[in-house]
Amino acid sequence: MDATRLVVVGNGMAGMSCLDRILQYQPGFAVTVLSEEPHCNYNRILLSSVLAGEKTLEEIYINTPEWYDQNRIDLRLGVKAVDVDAAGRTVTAATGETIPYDKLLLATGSVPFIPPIEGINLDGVFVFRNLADVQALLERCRQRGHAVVIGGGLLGLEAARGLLNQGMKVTVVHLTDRLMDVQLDVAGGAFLQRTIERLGIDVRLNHKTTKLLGDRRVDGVMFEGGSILPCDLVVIACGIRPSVELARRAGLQINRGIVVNDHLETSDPNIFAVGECVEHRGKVYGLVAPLYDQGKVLAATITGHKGPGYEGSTLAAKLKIIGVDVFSAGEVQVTGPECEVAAYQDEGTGVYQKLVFRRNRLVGTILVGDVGRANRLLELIRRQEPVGEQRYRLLFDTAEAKLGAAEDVMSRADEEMICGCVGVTKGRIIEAIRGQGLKSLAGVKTCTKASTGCGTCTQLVEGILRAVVGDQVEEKKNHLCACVPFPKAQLRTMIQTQRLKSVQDILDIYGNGAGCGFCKPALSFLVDEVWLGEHHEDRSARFINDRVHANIQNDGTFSVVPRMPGGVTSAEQLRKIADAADKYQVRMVKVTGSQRLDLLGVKKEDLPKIWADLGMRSGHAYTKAVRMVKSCVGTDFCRYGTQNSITTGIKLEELLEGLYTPAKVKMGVVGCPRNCAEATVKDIGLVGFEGGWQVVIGGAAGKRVRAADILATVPTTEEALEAALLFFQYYRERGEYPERTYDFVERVGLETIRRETVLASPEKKQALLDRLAKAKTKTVNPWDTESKQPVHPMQFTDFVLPKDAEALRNQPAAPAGG
Amino acid sequence: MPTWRLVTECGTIPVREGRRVICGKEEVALFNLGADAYLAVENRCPHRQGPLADGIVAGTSVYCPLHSWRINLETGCAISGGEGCVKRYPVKIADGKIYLAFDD
Ligand SMILES: Cc1cc2nc3c(=O)[nH]c(=O)nc-3n(C[C@H](O)[C@H](O)[C@H](O)COP(=O)(O)OP(=O)(O)OC[C@H]3O[C@@H](n4cnc5c(N)ncnc54)[C@H](O)[C@@H]3O)c2cc1C
Ligand code: HEM
Ligand code: SF4
Ligand code: FES
Repeated sequence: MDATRLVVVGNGMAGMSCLDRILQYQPGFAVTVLSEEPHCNYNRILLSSVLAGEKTLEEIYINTPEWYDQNRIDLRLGVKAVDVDAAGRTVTAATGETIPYDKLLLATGSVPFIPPIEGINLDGVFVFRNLADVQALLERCRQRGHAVVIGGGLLGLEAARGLLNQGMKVTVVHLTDRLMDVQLDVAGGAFLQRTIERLGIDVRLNHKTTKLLGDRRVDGVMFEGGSILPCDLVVIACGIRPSVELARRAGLQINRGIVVNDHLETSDPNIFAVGECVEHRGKVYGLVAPLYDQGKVLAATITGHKGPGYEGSTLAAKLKIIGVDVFSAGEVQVTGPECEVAAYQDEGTGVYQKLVFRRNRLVGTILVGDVGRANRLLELIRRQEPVGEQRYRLLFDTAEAKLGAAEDVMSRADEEMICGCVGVTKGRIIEAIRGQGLKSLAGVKTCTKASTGCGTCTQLVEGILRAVVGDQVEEKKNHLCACVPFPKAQLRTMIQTQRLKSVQDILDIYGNGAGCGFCKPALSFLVDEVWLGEHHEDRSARFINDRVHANIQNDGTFSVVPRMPGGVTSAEQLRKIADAADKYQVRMVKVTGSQRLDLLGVKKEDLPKIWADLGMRSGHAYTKAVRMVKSCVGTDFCRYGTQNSITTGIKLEELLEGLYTPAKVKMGVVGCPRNCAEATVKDIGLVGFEGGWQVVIGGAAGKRVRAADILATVPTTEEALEAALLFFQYYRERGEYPERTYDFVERVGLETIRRETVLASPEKKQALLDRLAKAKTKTVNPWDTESKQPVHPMQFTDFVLPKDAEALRNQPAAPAGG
Repeated sequence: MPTWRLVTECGTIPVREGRRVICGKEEVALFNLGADAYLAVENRCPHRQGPLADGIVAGTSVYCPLHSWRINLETGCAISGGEGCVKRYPVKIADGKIYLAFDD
């Protein structure tokens, strides 16, 4: 007997997860998949993360071409099914081909609902449904401007957040009186709105859009009443409609969606349907968890293992905007006298938690500001057991913080659901980790499919992994730090678009509020660099060296290295240095490897005084900044000299002095290729020759030894300095703290660096130089400003308490607190 | 019985920073954690005596400026880096002034 021919229409999340299961039960089908979209199956949910820049397109594919090959699936990409002949059992593709089937599976999903508004076809009007939409949006966002999102539901808010991250100004307009009105009540909506507005998104409620304005390209939105909001881009996120056209042509029974019974059978015995396109017991679902449940039942039905039917799902939704925690499940509106509500609401912290009970059973919940309890409450809603007298404890029993949630996961029951999308329990994950010897999140994902849906359970899965395998976890690091879990490049954009000017703001809004010894200095650099020095300086986020402008030594004293541009000093400076060395009894005066002098062993309280006595500028030897430019003696003295290395070295150092960088920047300028000041192992080097300069970058003679690469060869000193400055600013903007130039050059590639700096358009070059110049105007010599007036009066001093006798008098009569 | 000694007014130590308090032979690191919460520990890292008062404060812990051991200011013990604890000093706030308790 020939294999049963199974034709699947729709290559989306529901269809493919169901097909995966069908093949597990019974590999013998001859499968054809018709996919209107020209890509392999991808995770539609994560389109939000792609738009937000948190994930790349490549990262969201679910099945690879090999998967289709291995399962001998005939995948027809870019082929739309246009007709079904149910009696003759064939499907007709848009290509004209007819494909015979024994069983037909419709998994056509939905299409965006487009409200009847004039001007929908204008250029610049987008929907947010598939990969092509996101690609088009990302492309358009490069032009910046003002985006209006019509619709303040889950999808609209996630779109708004994504657009904001892409540098757009964003307004969300919404028809009703609260955001996410399907999932939230009035109070929840208000709490959510405040958080959304804090991100910098403008929200307008009770706005009915009547018309999109513009000639060819959209330039405004008109509302009922005639008011107009100018804009450059519109995203329509007004809900979805099941795709039922094909089912209609097949003559199936259709209501809102394709009507199916508990076994996902349609009105035709050979046709089945799954996903957003179906209607089951009068309900149409728009989230993956129910669709996966349907898929499990359907896979059993189609392969002849008909078991228990599908009985419908509890609706649960989580907003996937980092820093905006919203969860809603079950019945959230109070209906009828049997309903009782318990709620906790805290305006100050933005936390709103509501439970809805009916006959002492939990039937719904809304969580805003803290969703740590989401999975547990959902489990209770599903179980429908009476919750007992002390049901208020459901809100307060654990003091788990946002961060603690992951660690706390081990105290939960094995049956508890961890990944709500795919339906994976804690027990199943532990079993897989132990059984398969898994050591990475990627491994757990492949093996259990947990965390392959919306991704909000990733922390929990990681927590379980850590608890089971401990330190052996293999991590993929592209985040700055666990305290602010964002890719570094994206943090920069977020700081920019959300106008975050202080480290603590970033930590409060996007991080865990506390930060750590690594990310606080890293963020300090980022805000300074992004705002070109116009940030809000938070000294507490700086390493001690940057608070007292000196280098802490192993005994808690400090070292002082004055700037000597180009490595040139004078008799007068040397005398002052000698006097200061005596006066403050420094332990040693040392010639450094960087052509300057170091006074070692200075007490913190002496720092401002020694700076004042020296009257020299800070050498920034204690921080990630421009260190120095070494130079050789060049044409001024050397008989081989071809270029004036001293003057050029001093000039380069003074052009860049005082600027902070992702990691320290050491430079060198030499007058001929004999290279006496070792410019070819510096971050930036200028090597003179007869008739010009070679500008070299990415050299090192530290932990690593690396010969610098040639960035450019130029005839004049001005051009050499410009090339150095262009690279310097490019590295400042693109380097990832604490990445040295030698790693930066290898990561980014010399060709890209050349293209973006010395070979860039005149406008681009000028823009780099302008930003550099602007940042430079904000630099100060901290030794001068802080020896006169420290940023904080007690910056350099200690509290020395008086002797015993006085201490007794200082005792408070009755100290409060404890 | 410990003696409460006046250190300074609230507000002289910036939020999320620490300062060194010297009393006879004892050196204390006193931290302002914000919202009128202060904690104090011995100013000597259990690793190699680093001055904890110069560290970076994160939540209720501090990172030693020398080799980044992380010390929990509530327990006085290292959370990361290695193992070891430092002495804690009780802190009291009264009438806008900060007091530290020293053993006599
Ligand atoms: C931006 C975004 C964020 C989301 N976030 C979440 C979330 O956080 N949590 C959650 O649970 N859900 C979320 N969803 C919803 C979730 O993605 C959908 O519920 C799920 O993808 C639906 O799966 P499906 O297979 O039914 O439909 P789809 O994934 O839409 O797949 C249907 C496929 O069939 C194709 N098709 C249709 N008609 C034909 C035809 N005639 N011939 C050939 N091919 C055809 C379509 O092109 C499409 O590729 C989100 C959706 C979007 C767009
Ligand atoms: C023949 C011509 C040369 C002259 C006049 C010359 C001159 C100098 C001078 C004046 C110094 C500084 C010395 C000091 O700081 O104590 C120096 C240092 C140095 N020279 Fe030369 N040099 C010559 C050739 C070379 C060559 C051919 C090389 C390498 C192949 C070289 C490598 C160095 C190095 C590595 C240093 C040390 C740099 C430092 O300490 O920062 N020199 N040279
Ligand atoms: S690099 Fe050339 S110019 Fe400079 S000191 Fe050495 S030999 Fe002279
Ligand atoms: S002395 Fe504190 S970490 Fe080394």
